[in-house]
Amino acid sequence: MATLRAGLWTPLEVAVAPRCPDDLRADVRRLTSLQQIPLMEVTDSELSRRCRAEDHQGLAARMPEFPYANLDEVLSRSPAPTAWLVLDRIQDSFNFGAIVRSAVELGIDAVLIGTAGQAGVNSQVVRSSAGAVNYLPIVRARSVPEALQLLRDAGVLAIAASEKAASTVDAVDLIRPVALVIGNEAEGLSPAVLDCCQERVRIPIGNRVGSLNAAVAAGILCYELVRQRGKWSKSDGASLT
Amino acid sequence: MTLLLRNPHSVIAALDRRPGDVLEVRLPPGKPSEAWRPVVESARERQIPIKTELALPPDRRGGKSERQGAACAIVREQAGALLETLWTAPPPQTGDLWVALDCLQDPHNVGAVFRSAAFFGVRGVVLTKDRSAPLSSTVYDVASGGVESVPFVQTPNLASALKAAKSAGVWVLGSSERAAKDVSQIPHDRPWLLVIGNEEQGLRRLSQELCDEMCRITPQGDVGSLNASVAAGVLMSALRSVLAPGQ
Repeated sequence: MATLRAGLWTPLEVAVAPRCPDDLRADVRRLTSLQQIPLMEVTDSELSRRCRAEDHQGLAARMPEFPYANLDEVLSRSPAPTAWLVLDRIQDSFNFGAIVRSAVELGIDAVLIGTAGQAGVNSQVVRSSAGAVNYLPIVRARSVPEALQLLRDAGVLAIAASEKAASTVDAVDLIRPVALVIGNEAEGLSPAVLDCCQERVRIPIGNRVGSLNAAVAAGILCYELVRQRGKWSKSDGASLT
Repeated sequence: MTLLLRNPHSVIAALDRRPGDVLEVRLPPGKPSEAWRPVVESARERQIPIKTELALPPDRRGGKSERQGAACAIVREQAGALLETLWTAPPPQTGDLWVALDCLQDPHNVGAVFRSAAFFGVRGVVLTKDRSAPLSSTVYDVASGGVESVPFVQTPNLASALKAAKSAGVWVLGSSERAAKDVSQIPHDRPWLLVIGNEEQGLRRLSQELCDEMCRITPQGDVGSLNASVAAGVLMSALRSVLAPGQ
């Protein structure tokens, strides 16, 4: 539904079934007619068959490939993005979706992913992102190191998240234009990507046992960016004393 | 009850903490993968049976049986702690942090919360029993060893657990998108029990009424909230960095 509302990624066709609540159905009718998308009425079991899931909510859409953004175009936007999140081979769709959701909520302007070993934007990612894939540009680059170099050329500081880093993220200035670079769930960042990063940071901790889930680590780094940029105090100015 | 663990990190943690509960390690034929090698070494040292003949039933052979042949370990469930000891041994101090999960339903979220809790040195996790994800093999595997290192209690009555925490001197901090304060405004001169609500509904009314403070992660975007385990991780991180500065 968030996808229809955002109007960025247009479905090829939409199907509604009796299980769909009436108010939602009315919204779907309005939006599909507005965007000239074919709308079909099907039975609940027909929809289950089509989306290969029993637990649907009476609404499904057949989607074309996700409309990834173009790197040059995003870089030339005005104002230029000052907070990038770069993902190096995030394989798990749940993680990728949760990361995009955090990115939208925690002050990231654009997400950059690679192709090899990286989950693309699929229906699972859309679900676990709670529709957030529609709210910021996602660039897919053939080579993450090459794309990082382009970001650096545009004046963005590339910061690698690495457990082995000497400095903690709160000790690095995140107010200037930055790209936070997160690595694969098991292997972390590839050497080629790590080589492109100008800084390495880790998450400060009290009592360290083990490591963090990639989506949790990404969320914590983004929150630090928001904290340093003081954004929360802007929307919360009244209660600050 | 036994678990079937497929993440070598969760098996290693069980072998380190309670080797007597690891009943058997099962490996596909051939050399163990790099990730499983420490498991094999540790199991051998402790004389835990290692089975390498993962012969599949004849009708499944050659079919979609790869999953069945993957390395795994049979491990007894971890026993929960006693609720009273969670707060009292040792007594709560400024900087201490506990986490309570109010009807979290996704096992991936529960597992990720345990993993973060271990990472941030959380003293204990309280979980609701009803309408909540059970502590399944998935939870243990996603926690990547976290369930072994953080004491936990499953309770049918979260409200009375929150009351017990309060009378032991722990302050209760709820989290909600509708809270007025950002987590960074929460006073850090006391021990906190952080309560995380259900993925859809958030905290139940009674849980919320027992909170001494409510906090949020101030949203910047259009989605309105974070994934529950990401939110829990961000809150733990924010509380730990104010509660235990300079570490």
